[in-house]
Amino acid sequence: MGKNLLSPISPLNGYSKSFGNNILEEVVDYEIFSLATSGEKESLIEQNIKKLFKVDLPFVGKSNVSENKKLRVMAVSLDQWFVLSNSGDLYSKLISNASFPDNIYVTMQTDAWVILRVSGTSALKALERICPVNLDPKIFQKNDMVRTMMEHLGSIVICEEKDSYLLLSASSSAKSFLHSVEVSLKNVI
Amino acid sequence: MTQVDRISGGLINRKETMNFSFNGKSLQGYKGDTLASALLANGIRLVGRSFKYHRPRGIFTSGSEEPNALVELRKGAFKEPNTRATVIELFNRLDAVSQNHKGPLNFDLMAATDLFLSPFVGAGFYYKTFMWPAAFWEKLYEPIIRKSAGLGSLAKLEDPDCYDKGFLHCDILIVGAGPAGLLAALAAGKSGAKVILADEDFLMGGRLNSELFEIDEMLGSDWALKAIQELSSLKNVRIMNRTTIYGSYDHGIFGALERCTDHLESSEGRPRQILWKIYSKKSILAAGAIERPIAFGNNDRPGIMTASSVRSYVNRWGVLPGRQTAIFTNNDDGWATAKVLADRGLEVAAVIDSRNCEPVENIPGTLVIMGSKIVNTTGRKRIKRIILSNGQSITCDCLAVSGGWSPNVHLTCHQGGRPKWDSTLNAFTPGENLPKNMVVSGSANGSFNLQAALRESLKVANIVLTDLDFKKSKIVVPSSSDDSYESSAFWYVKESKKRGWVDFQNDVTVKDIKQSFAEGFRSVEHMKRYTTMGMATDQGKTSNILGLAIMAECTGKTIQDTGTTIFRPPYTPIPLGALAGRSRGKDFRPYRLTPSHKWSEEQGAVFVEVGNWLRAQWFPKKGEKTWRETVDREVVSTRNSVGVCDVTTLGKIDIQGKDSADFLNIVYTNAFGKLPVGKVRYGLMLREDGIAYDDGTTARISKNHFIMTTTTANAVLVFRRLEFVRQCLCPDMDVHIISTTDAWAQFAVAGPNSRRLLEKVIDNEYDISNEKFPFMGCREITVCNGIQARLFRISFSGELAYELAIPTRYGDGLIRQLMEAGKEFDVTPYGTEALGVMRIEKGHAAGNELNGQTTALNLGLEKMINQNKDCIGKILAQRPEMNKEDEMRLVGFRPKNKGDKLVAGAHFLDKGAKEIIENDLGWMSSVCFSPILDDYIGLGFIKNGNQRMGDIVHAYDKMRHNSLDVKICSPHFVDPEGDRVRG
Repeated sequence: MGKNLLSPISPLNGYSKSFGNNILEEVVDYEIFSLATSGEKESLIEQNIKKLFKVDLPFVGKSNVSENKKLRVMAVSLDQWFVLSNSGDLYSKLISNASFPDNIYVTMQTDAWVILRVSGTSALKALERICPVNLDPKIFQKNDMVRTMMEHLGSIVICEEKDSYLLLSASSSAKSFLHSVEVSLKNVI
Repeated sequence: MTQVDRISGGLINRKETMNFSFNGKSLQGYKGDTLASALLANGIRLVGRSFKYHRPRGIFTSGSEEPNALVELRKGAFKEPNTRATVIELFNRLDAVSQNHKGPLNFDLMAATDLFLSPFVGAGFYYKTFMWPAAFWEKLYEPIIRKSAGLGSLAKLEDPDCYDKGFLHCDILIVGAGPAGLLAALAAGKSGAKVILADEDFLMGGRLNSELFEIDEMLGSDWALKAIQELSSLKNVRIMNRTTIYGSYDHGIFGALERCTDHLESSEGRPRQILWKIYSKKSILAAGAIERPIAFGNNDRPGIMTASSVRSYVNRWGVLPGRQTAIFTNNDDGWATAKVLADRGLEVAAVIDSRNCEPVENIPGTLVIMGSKIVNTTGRKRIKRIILSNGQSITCDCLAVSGGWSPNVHLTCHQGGRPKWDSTLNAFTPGENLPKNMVVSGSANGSFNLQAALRESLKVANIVLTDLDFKKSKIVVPSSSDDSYESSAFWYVKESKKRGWVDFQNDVTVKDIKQSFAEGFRSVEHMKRYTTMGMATDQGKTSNILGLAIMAECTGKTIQDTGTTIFRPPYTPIPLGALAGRSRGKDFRPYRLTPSHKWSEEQGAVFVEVGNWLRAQWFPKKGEKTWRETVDREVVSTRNSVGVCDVTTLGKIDIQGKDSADFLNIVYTNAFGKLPVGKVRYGLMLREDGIAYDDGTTARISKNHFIMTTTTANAVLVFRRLEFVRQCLCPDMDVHIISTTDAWAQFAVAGPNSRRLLEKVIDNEYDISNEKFPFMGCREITVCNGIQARLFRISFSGELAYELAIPTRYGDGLIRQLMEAGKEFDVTPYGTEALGVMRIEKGHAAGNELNGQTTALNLGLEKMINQNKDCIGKILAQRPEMNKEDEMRLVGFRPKNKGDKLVAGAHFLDKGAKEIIENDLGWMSSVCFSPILDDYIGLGFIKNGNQRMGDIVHAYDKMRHNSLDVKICSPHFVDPEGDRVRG
């Protein structure tokens, strides 16, 4: 078979812009997939996830990053997790793996989301304008995550590190989402 | 004009002169002035006209409680009416004009209202006057009243400023940066708590900036400045001046309006104001108190102001409100004004104290009259004389009135709490039911003595800190003056024969309040509405207590028993622009774009809003003059060859788990347990009450994996419903769901050439012939050399049709590829309008039919309710009333006379039947022009519809004058046997 005839386009076409000493950029090199498990004991779920991804299962509101920093698992609810991976086509490898446990259900989510990274000394101030959650670094620490609404759009906020946040929202409203973060940055710098 | 009434001192910056204009006159002030102080400094006393009677009015206070000095600020699109001059920070090139006068301010033609019409326009006049003749109301009276009513005028242009909103979180919100608030902030900040300190003023310090109190042996204003500097150095303290905490809401949430650029000549693109939602664990209300006036004859003349504001103008702004100032007081505090003036060597014409007691201060050279009252004043455009109850007349050019202090309890009452009356203070103080986690301190709590306020502030701060598990503050209460405060319950001068004003802004007098009582209004809420007291933009901050006291006297009740009206946010007016924030224009709400949006724009598509989605409605070609031409062409081309439509917006829900089939059996009326892998089934969902809820198709991708589709409108609602069922009704089932609506771009490819078109993009190894891929099949495939995709053979149009799904990132590429590959078939892109025409032609129900009133029986889908299993809504769907013999049925309609236009919404009647509800047989739910039949067609519900094929009934539409006869027919206008979809 020849080369793919279609070129992929990310929701914001690789957007990247500086606002003073802050950067707002679309993150395009992540795969996202959701994981859900059947009513297994927690320890078994944990074992499966650890075996597959070499990372501990996080609590709700937290995410854990693999040692090689290429994979982040976050608990979006009691029985559902999101995996963000830039390990290159991990999803295909998982589902084509014969020994993949049949009590873990996977759904590809990459195209359902747009990911923005906002970083810089004004990142927190900008997020104050649209995020109702308390992102005070003493409370919302590295690798914490939260689901919330920002400018009427369902979103996920992840603290990557001090002054750097990943923001996820639905890909179909990516332009509106971008606009809300852009305006926030413009209004605080 | 020089600043004739400017004196030395004040907290203004005389090195920075500000040029401004008022009513076209160029004037000067200094940085740190308000517009009010600058006007007074320039000798201007007359600043506006009252609302009803157009009486000349001057500056009455120095704060946000100002009822009189309302101006229109700025010009053109930036114009804002009803801005209080007392809170406007002076800036260079400020432009203000006075309000509410016809002709110049000095000679208002509408003043005739006061001179001649006042007997006819008292409280509630509109219930008694302008009644006869009745015909005159609409043509004459109402237009005249409308023209003269209202305060200020709008620019009627879009507000060019931008606004923003935000969210803040803190341990302690302190409202008010006077002495109590500052001390609490110091205590809390130094203990490590996260503190927000907010004050509506631009210069924090509260009354310390207007009085000459000493704290720790320094001037109060210097102490305040030092405190603010110290607070500014604390990283855990956020200082928000120019910020009004306008409302107190549940769970410790407060609304705040921060004025970012109102004190500047231009916003320069920055947000003018920010509306904050502040989440606090605890709050300390230290909002101070507001001074009341006393009502007496002609107490509203320019030059009459509250006694404390006279001190503010002298001490804070270095302005002389009068060269011969008289004081009228019923409490100790009024004497402070006399002392301040006298100590500055300024003339005090007289001190009149209503109480029979010893003078509070010794003011040498001043006439002191105890136990007396003012009954009248003279001086229309500026006070000239006061006349006492004993007939004595005293010359003055300023009258400072002190009727006592009212703690600022508003925020304690926004959640339904009521204040309690303190008969020692003669004021309402915070009641028992404070908002959760709020405490009050300082004069807001009735502690009018500075030392007491400071002591209380620190005590309260420490209690709050302890509650939050912080260490108590080590701060010691600073030392300050410890003067007592005595007042009396004296509200108005009974001896006055002239009108005494209670509510200045709405022109309500003592007489009006007494009249409302005489006319039978007993409740304070009724008195408020009947007289409009307290209903203006100042919300009665200086009038409410007086009004209640007069009401109490009339009824013979105590003030406590009379009670207050309800306090509601906002505390001070908020521009609508601030409430709107960023929700304006294109960004009024978020929009969702389909993967083919860019391509559709390139084709010149016309878009329609479908919820938040922008969908292509039709694709006009050059030369087409009307949308009908376009849509007709799209329908005909699709039915004759092939058309492509972006159907990404329909909800897609990924359902996985060992119990997913059983789960679907619960949410759908029909069974899915035996649906083979690789097959799709149409499903109907009911509400719990048996009414049809949503429909869609669900495909079985593998044994434990289904893909459900929903209508666009119900995508989110169905998903939520499924989550509810999963978590609450079937928590033990192994089933998991997630939305994949945005994850897949999906295109309907419909028409006789649809298979041939798809064969050009689907990779060769997949055989989609009719034999290998029959109707209602689904499979995972690859397209365009190995790109993962899914193909569903389903049809909404009634043609041979498929839906091709691909990860959204390839959506733009795929539509282009399909159009390129489809050129040989003259492929047509079609939009939602053509989609709608084709589904009506085929007789498929959609949102118009599943409208929340119809059942499976009405829709002709009753056989889809599987009798061998339970499902949501099954029991109540069996109610006899929903299963009557002559139940309404979904059928088709055509006009009796070809070419007549059908209209959705028309109701059906038997021919000749009277047009009354009892004869209503049903309604037309969907209508379109069918280019295939060259006629209008419709779908609708009619009683016994399936038994009445061929009958003529009347479609009645009186509202649009479009009643006509229609023929009942099958709803399947095109391909009723279904040969095309199975071809």
